[in-house]
Amino acid sequence: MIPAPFEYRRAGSVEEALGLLEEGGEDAKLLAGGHSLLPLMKLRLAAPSVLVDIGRLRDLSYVRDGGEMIAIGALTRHREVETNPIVAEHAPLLAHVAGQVGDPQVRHRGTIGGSIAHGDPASDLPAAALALGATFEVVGQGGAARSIPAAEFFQGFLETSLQPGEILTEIAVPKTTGAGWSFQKFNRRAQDWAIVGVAAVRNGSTGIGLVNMGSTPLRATAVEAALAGGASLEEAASHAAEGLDPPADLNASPEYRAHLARVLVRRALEEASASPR
Amino acid sequence: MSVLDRPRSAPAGAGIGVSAPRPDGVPKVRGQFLFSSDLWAEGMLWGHVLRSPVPAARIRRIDVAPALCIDGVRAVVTAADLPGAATFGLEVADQPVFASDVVRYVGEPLAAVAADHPETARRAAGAIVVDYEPIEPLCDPEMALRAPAIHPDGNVFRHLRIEHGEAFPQAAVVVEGTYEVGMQDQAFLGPESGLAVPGEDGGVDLYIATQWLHVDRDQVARCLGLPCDKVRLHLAGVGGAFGAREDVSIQVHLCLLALTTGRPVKIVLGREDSFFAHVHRHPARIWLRHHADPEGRLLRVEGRVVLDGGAYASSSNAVISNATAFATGPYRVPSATVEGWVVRTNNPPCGAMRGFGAVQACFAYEAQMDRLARALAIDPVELRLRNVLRPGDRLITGQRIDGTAPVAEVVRAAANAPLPPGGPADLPAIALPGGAGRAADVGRVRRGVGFAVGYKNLMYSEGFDDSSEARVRLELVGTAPVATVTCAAAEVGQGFVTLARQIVAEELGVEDTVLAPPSTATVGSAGSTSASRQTWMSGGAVAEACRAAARQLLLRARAGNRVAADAGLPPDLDAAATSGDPSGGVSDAHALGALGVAALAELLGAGPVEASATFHHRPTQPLDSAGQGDAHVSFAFAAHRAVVDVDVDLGLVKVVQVATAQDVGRVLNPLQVLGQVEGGIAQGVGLAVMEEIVLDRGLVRNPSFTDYLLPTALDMPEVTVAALVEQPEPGAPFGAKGVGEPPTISSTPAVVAAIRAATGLELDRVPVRPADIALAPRPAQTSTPARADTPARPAAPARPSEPARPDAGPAGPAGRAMVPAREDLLGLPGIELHVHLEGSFTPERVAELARAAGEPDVDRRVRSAFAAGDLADLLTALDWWCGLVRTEEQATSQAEGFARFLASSGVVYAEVTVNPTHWGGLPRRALIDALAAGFERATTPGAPGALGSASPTAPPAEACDCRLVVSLRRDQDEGDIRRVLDELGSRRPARVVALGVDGDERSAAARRRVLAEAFAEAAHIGLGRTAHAGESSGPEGVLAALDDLGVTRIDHGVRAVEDPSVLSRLRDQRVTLDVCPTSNARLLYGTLDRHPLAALDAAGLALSIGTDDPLIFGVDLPEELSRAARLAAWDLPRLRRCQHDALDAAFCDDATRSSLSRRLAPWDTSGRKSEG
Repeated sequence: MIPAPFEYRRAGSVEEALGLLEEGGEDAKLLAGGHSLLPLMKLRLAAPSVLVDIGRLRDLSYVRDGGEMIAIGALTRHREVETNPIVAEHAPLLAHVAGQVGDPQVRHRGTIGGSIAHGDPASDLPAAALALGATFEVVGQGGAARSIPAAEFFQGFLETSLQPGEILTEIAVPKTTGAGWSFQKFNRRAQDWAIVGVAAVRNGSTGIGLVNMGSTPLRATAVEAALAGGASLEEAASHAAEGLDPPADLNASPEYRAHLARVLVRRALEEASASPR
Repeated sequence: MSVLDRPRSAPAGAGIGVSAPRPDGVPKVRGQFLFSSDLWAEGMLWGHVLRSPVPAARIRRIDVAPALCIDGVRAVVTAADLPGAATFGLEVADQPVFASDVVRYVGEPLAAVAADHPETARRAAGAIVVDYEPIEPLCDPEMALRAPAIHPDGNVFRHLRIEHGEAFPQAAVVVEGTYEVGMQDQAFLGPESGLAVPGEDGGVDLYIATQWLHVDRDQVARCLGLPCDKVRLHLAGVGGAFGAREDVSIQVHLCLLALTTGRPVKIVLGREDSFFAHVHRHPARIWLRHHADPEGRLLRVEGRVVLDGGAYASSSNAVISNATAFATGPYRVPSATVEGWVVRTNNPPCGAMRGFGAVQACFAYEAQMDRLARALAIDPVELRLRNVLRPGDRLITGQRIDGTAPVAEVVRAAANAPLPPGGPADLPAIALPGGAGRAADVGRVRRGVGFAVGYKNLMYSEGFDDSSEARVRLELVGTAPVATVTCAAAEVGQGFVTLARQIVAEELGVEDTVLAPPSTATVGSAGSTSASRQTWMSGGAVAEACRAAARQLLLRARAGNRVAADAGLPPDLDAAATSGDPSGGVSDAHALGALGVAALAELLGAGPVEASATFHHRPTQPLDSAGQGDAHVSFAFAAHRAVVDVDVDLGLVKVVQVATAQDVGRVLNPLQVLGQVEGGIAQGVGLAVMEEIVLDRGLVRNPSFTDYLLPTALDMPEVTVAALVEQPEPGAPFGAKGVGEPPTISSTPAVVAAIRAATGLELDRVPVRPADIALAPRPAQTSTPARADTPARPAAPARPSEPARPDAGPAGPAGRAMVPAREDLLGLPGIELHVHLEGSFTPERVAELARAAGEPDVDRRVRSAFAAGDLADLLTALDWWCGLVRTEEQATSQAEGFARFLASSGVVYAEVTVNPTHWGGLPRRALIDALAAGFERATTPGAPGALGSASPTAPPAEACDCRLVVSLRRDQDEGDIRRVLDELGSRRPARVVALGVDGDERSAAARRRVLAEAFAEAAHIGLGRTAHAGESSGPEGVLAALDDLGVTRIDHGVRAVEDPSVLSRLRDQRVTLDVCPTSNARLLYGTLDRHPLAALDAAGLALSIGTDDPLIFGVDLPEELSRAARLAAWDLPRLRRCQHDALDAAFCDDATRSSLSRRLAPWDTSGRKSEG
């Protein structure tokens, strides 16, 4: 449980962080709350040569009402997302999901941007971002900015469309004020990772994100298409695992995960449809 | 007032019976307590142990040079550097300190490194080059019974057999089941760690977290080649134990590194290495059959317990003794036969864990009691009350319970505890299964209630004198009397440090007690902190030492004329003070107490007093060859009632409440008892629904607390202590029984019984995983069963006239027959060992071959041949049609067609007997090669062969893996037999796995020597051995096959039933009978109902079912299995056991066997193959 040796650099600004990243080259990694990266380093599944600590960039920790959407700084802690009144009113699904991450100690350290940029299929927040149709704001070398829709962000296992030298700065979440939503997180032991999770929001159309049903956070596109085509909730939910290749591990076989996805998607749709909250 | 309502805090110096605070409690909570991982010494080095990544291999070479080249490395040691014994062990020294020639489990140490920095040591260990030659690991404990030995000491650590009582009257009801317990880890929080410091005298001081300093010391000294007094062990802060620190782990490695380098060396294991460094709870497979009268009173219990001991002995011998002796539970059982085995495999070694064999047994016998209750529609609590042990009863080991046994009391109290109010619908979402994840749907949540009671022995058993020594010194510090207790009892969290003070206060009235650090250098052994024994044994030693000190003080008082009449001392002080007997001692202590602290201080003014005592429990004796004997000192009982909520769609379980009552003798510290009760229940709940070390061919898949699921505080149920039953135990100091283990024993079965009640599923394995519930085929959910005792719906028997046992397990889908019909068995992966290629001919095929051969009068001869009425006729007919096979292609297509026929009926593995003497049309070697080619061809996709498909309803056939048993004919020419063996020995033909013999058994006598030589040669060249016997010959033929031929299975063998001694031989040698009911009915008994299958089963034999000559008798394996089931009133689980017996007896390699075992696995856990 001791990481391999690495060099530690602390950045005082986004610009400095970009510079340090460029300097560090291929093996440099950004450190935010450290709750995804550090465990991997301790298990020696990750061995970056340089860690650029952006954890103290206060100006990337905010929640703002942006009219049609809310803007959340990438370094906003889970605990802030969980309790912020703007998030609670306009993206209640996200507030709830943030409150499901780990335990209070984790939520006071971990950041929403770190969780999204890590791209772990077993994490809760990426699936919520998918369900909500969020957009990720990114800056690169020389301050070049671009926006990446959540649906295009997660590319492979722990792999995103962030390029080396780019920093995720903001998560823009379309408002779903008053919409029905649900988050179903299945685990065997309290406070564990989800074995399967489902985030759903119904706001005219329906967005559904799946946790731990493949090598990336996923959208349940088959269910969304069935609903768009007029299927009943139950009928739509039966498509929950369609076209997916859920992982096998000690907690669940692919068959069991597919079963859980069908049951949980149905429950999520029923809860999200029951009442706008 | 309940004892738990007594004060929760008490002043220091309070005597027994109050919740005195533990001296290490606050430091532990505040992070100030020094655990063994906090040890530090000036100039110390760091050690790291290299462990094997493979479960079984020969070691060709270990090259440590690359490690020694690394800067900062001070020493690398291997087996070659050990000055003393190469092996250690608690009961048998069979475990190498470092593997040198063979590794036998993943994690076995190979070398140890000392370096300046822990990271350097870790890297250096990784640089050591080990050249492994992998061996196929032996991972299946049932297989270990017959597989070649993987250790010079053999594969069976211990086998014992308990025979109790006489034959029993006819039982009204019989229930049986096979239960499995997975490998649980003790999962203490403080990983193995210690510090060894070389001494100036050439010895070594080892500071270590352990359960038993002195026995560690003895083993370490032996391996170091040092006298015991040069190895001094001192207890370092222990972060939990639960049995996992009873064996030596890193002790020898540390000392050897310290002695080699001349510097202090510290090792702290990481969590993953910790999983590899200590023993675990034995996985178990337990078969039990209970016979009861109509009122539910037990008449007889039969059982078979197999524990997987892993690679080395540890305490396996004692664990199997418990698991076997306690296999019938805390019940009156007038007649019992229970057999226990603990075997060696290439899995991680198993040994002590809280509950020690009693846990595994309790899961099985309590499931059986619930089955019995359902079968008789008796309330499960009432059924238990009708059977519970009472004082004066005898156990199945013949031992009379002469202490207290409040079993009925704990059962009643736990059963009558208040249930949680309301139901799942009344709970907030966070309290439902899945908790904060809010995945549960309250409409799909079912509540269930389950009950269980269990027991175990206290202290060590079977003749072992695990005495404890303590020394008490009284002196004045300033003006106050202070007691110093020196005792080597390891404090592992159980609370001896608190109780020792309470005992001193109770005995002497001294408020200030100091506990000297436990060490082998200062005092004799206190025995292990295990077996619920330290309060009794070391508590007893401290109490006796106090009394001896009191005697000295009273003598001093008398000598100094300091005793005033008004001090209230007894007039016979003189006699009391010089009395050596314990009752006199008590009055001494009380007399001293009466003096008061001031007088005590005055007496101590003349100087300190010091006294020692060694406490022994009463002697016990080993179990004899019939498993009888007064093996145990005392017993403790506990009952648990669990309430669970289950989301049946998700398979998620929430344990809502566990109510318990426990037999404690006397409560010495209520808060500590409550701590043991709650902690034990946490481990019991963990085993029920979460905790398992998952193994895959000897590899540990989850050596971390991320993947090894331990219940958290949020997963713990509410614990309701309904009663701590206080009946002082005679012979126990203060009347107190040990309380540490009983809470773990019956909490697991109670939780699983509750899940069964909620789901209607059988669930015969722990831990129960969510998929076991969610993906199991389930009876339609109707309403929430309110109680565990909802009677099963009586299942309709398959056919009205058939015998049926009332027990069908939880109700199956309405109308489904209890005795499986052929349709129920299609798709069961079939294993068939008794089938002849000579019986693979259909009339059409014979006619075709006969015409091709130009035979006359084909139709009549075919009809006549297929009408064979007895064995002799049949053998003649076989000669004719097999002789018609004249070309290799005909032989190949015959074999291919037969393999495809077997596959179509679901057989996935078959050992097909061929007797070349019948096949006169082809030379022997050409024939065998052609048949093997046909079997090979059948493994590729293709049209069904000439025999067609057995059943249009059969699922798409998978290929059948067919092997050949080359069979001799009993009257075959002697020279010819020799040639057969020569041919098989010089070039093993493909697919041939065994030698057999068949033919008319009545001609056997003259052939004994010839056949014995042939079979000896077969063993020599590595062939399996089987023989036809007990069909046309009687039991004597079976005996001859065992004695002369050394067979491990017998084709037919059914007439063994005529001689009970032959049945015993077969059972004891685990010889499998390959029985073919239809064939026997046709050729031997005339009708099926005269077949002795049920009697063979009752004798406890391993049985496989075969078809013999399927095409002649018009059967296939599913049909034959269903006939066997009807004949012996077997349910599906029993039939599955036939398939396992067959697999165990098969002559295939282990890889094939484990692959087949995996294919059977889905049927084992769910009853039917799980869908999806």
